[in-house]
Amino acid sequence: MTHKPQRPQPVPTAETRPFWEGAAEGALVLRRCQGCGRLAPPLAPRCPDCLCDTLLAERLSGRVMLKGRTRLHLQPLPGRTGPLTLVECAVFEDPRIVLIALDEQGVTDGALPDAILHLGFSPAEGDAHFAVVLPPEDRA
Amino acid sequence: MTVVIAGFGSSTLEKRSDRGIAAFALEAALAALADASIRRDEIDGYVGAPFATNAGSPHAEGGDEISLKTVAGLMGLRLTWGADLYRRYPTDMVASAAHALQAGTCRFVLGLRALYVAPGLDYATGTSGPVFGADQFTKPYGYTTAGARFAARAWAYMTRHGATRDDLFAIVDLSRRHAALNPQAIWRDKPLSLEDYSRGRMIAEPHGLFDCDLPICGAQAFLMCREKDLPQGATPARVTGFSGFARPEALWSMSGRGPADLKTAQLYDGFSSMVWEWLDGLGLTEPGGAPAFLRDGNGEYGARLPLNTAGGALGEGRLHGMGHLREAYLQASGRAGLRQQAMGPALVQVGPYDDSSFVLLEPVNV
Repeated sequence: MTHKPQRPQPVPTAETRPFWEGAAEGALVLRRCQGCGRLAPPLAPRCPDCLCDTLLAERLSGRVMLKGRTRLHLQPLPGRTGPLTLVECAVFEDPRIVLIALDEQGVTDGALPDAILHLGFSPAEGDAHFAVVLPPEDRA
Repeated sequence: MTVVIAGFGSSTLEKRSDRGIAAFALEAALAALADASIRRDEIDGYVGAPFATNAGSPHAEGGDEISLKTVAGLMGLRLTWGADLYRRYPTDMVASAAHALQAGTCRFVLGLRALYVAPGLDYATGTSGPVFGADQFTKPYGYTTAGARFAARAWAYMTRHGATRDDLFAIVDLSRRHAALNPQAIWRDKPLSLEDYSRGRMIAEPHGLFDCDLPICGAQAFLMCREKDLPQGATPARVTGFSGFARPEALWSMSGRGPADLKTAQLYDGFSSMVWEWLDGLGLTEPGGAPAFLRDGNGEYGARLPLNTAGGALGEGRLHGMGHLREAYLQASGRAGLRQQAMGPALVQVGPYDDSSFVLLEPVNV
């Protein structure tokens, strides 16, 4: 049996499992506080605002705003060559939550900060589906 | 109760070394003791911040990190109090030492920070395998590699405010020129032309090779005490303020100073664009105004706010802010030699945009 080198594999906890389970279905899933209604960052055990511990998973639109972007010339991921475009995506429903994604199709070439993008998830690499910027034709 | 930095010491700074991290740590610690005219047996307090921040670090005690337990053992220290501050900065070390001294817990605190480039490892990139906690949202994307997050932020800043790579070069250029007057700076004899800068390979756009500080083997250490305990022969700088980044106003209220009082500023520059953060963030410049402020020469020697006067990390080498603190001490105590600027409140900021702390040092007899 051979093991292909693969991207680092997330080890979910109760807090982050809804995110990764959503990712496997191609959906952006975060948890919403049932006390005050704010969205919680994936790692949060409680709502950062009201500290309520009832957070329910919710499927979001996948719309995000481009917060930051870099083309990385050191290749940190196995099985890829050439510069890698990393983007910081501020979740449209709550831009305080920023998620990292790859842009492997040049969708953000020439884009400006705050450009609206759509986040999707890649086919499984290892056991995980990772966030990617979708080209316009792939938008749900 | 007034607290001072009574002395500072440095090891040699080397790109690679056959000596281990402990050798650098003890070299710096003994230099600090000598500089402050304090005997080893007088040390009863210790503060460190040993975390190696590079993505490829094995976090090996005595390998690429060194903490209180190892230092105390190797130096024969008998401590009343000591602490290592996890993932924090030299500026936080000063604040913790000040607290211990003001509480009367100890009399002489040694502060030590050592860095080391372990051989045979990829410094900048992490490994594959399982990732836990916050890493699960960053490492599978390479986001912890080569300062990608600072590069992504620099892109947004430059795009919003119209800054260019020429503005980044202005920071690198200033660092190299100021490093020329710092005898131990890694880049002291290496001025960099715009052409050389432009030829440097891209690392994480917009940062090229020369926008990244150079990882080195080295250590620096300070000695702190109450002003009334200052040993004869030591030259003090008063610690007049400190604060965390989320409450910068606390730096000014504690010290009774304001941004206009600053005579020098040492701003953290692990990547060149980071210098803009707190020029804007502390209100020294308008939002987006930092590149023009530097382009207009305001950070030069003798100018409005001489900046990173020993070359910063980009000129001296990667000491994770300890070099910035040392230079602020030397400026505030009048010991900066050829680099000496007007004496007065000397600002140190260490850390990134979303997690920094500040210290203000001032001359004692002014």
